[in-house]
Amino acid sequence: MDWLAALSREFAPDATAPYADIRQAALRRVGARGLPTPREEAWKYTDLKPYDGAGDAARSQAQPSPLALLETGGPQLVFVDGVLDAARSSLSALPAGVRVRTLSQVLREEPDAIAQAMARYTAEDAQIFAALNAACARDGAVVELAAGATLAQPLVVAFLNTAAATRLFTLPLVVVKAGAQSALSLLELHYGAAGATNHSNALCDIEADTGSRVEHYRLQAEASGAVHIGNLRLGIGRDARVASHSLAFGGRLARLDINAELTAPGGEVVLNGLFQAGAGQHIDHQTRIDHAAPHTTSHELYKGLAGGDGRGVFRGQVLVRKHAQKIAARQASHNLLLSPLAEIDTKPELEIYADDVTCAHGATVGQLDDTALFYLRSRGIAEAEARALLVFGFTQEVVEQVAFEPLRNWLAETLAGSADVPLPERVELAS
Amino acid sequence: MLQIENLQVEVDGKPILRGLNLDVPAGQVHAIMGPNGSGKSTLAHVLAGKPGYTVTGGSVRFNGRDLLALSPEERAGEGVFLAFQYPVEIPGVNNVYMLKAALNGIRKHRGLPEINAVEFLQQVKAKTAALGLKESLLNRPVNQGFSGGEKKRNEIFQMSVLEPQLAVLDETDSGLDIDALRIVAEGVNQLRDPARSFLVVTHYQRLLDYIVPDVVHVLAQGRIIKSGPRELALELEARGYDWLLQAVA
Repeated sequence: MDWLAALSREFAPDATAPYADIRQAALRRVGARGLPTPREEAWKYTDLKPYDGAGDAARSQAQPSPLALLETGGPQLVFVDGVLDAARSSLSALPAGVRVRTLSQVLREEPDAIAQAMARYTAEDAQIFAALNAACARDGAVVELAAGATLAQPLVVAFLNTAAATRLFTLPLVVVKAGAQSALSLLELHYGAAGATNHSNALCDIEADTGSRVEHYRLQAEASGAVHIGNLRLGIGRDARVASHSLAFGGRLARLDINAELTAPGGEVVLNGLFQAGAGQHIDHQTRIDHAAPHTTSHELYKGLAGGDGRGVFRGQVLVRKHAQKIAARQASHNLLLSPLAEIDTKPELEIYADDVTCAHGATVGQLDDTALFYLRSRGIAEAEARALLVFGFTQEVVEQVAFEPLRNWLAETLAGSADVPLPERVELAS
Repeated sequence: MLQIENLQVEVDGKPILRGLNLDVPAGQVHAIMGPNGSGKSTLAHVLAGKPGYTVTGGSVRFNGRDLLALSPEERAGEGVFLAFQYPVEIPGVNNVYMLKAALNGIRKHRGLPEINAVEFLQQVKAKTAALGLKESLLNRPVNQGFSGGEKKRNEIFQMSVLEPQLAVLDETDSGLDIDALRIVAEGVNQLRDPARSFLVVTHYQRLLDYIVPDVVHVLAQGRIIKSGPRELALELEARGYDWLLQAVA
């Protein structure tokens, strides 16, 4: 199967569509370039070829369900197989200055509202899947906060995939414009029910204006037969702070590219990540933080787990431009291999052209500590539970930073509950 | 309660214990003393089931059961507790959470239902108070950022919650100043009970000033070479181990 052919069959942008010229340009770029191959640095560890066709529906298992997060009573938009589920969506009681619309509504009524954001993805260096989404997306969420507006209760935008989907592809798109001094908390949820074999190609574009605060959670719990490719762009203005937490558990292939652009002094970005690649899963994160202005700050903490023959990839690029003096950048990538067949590749890449900066990075790949395991067992805790407890402990540094309580509790339960699932084989140490 | 017969243990093919015999009846405190490298910690580890040791001969029976056939968690379920010489730090797992998992693991082994959460917290709080432990330590990750004294006290605290029948104290005095040593020893003394036995492994006799043993054993070259009353420890303190080693040789 040819992804591009399938996409253009399912989502051909018609010439009369809104910002059709931009969409056509994006699609032309994709056509000219083709799909990336492992010869490109960004795709070195992720070969798309084996994922060309649909997954095996009969073997596609669901992750622990995060659907309880749709019962918090807060504002939410729910899409099922790419189509709005109006009954489960609720945008009543949004505070003044907060506007949330579906993408389809915006495309009908005011396409100019997102034309500028979408135009970014026609650029020469736009990531190919981001360009594809920008060219073809039909529905999703457009969130606009006027200057000073605050949405305290998190907005949930959920993309649910089921075995009943008639299309192979879904193209979730979320566009956020946070005005000056505004504050927003957003959960972008991707979930696949058992039997789902969707190819999701998601894009989220967040522009945070002067002094704004954005807390973004991205929970990816696609079914094990799904392919999930995501792009996230964070534009961070003067004195703005954006924290984005990527929590990735699902998909046979899951890939997320994050581009954080610190464009003005005082900007701060927090990128936290937690991924768990079990048997048959490949989860790849590529993050790029661009310190394009002086006096900007970045904190990055990724924790990775791989069990069975699972595979994890983390690449953390930090670019400090020549004039970006007095910046501070901290990056840590810590990973645990839970079985002899698991593999995690982690690659910090710091490119620093300014001379008055504070940069620190650290990357580790290890196994569960045998001494700690014995300590817990000697207290009466069964081996499987002791292992789950150590894994749980390993993830806490990231989980604790999740301020949205229902999500934090869901994570804690899911991670602690991994004692109930069969744990991967391990090599017995000679005794 | 604990019967060790002719126990032989190797590490990486090197014999460490070479025919050790020991009998600890219920309610008694037995001290194991000996020079460095005599096999004291090996004995403590083998009793708790630490991987990495190969038992090449002999037997260990605990209340009549073959202890060596059990996993570490099963031994804990049967009532064995090891207070570590170097308590392990476990980031991200708080003390109370671990203790509850431990207590429930032990209860499960004994066919008992899980403990009620409220009851558990009450028990834990009462025991922290009894040991003079700061309650704030309960919600901190296990041993992380604890001082040396706090770590050892936390071991005794865990012991008090898990209520073992046999407590093995592996060099619990190491790294403690005299005040911390006294506090830890008081904690142990509170737990002395006619149904509970202690095996106190130590290099120095000063711990035994505070935890008064019923019997003192001298372990050297992988065997118990002498056993005696409490006064034996004082004699060792005064004369060292050489006279005994020469007598054996």
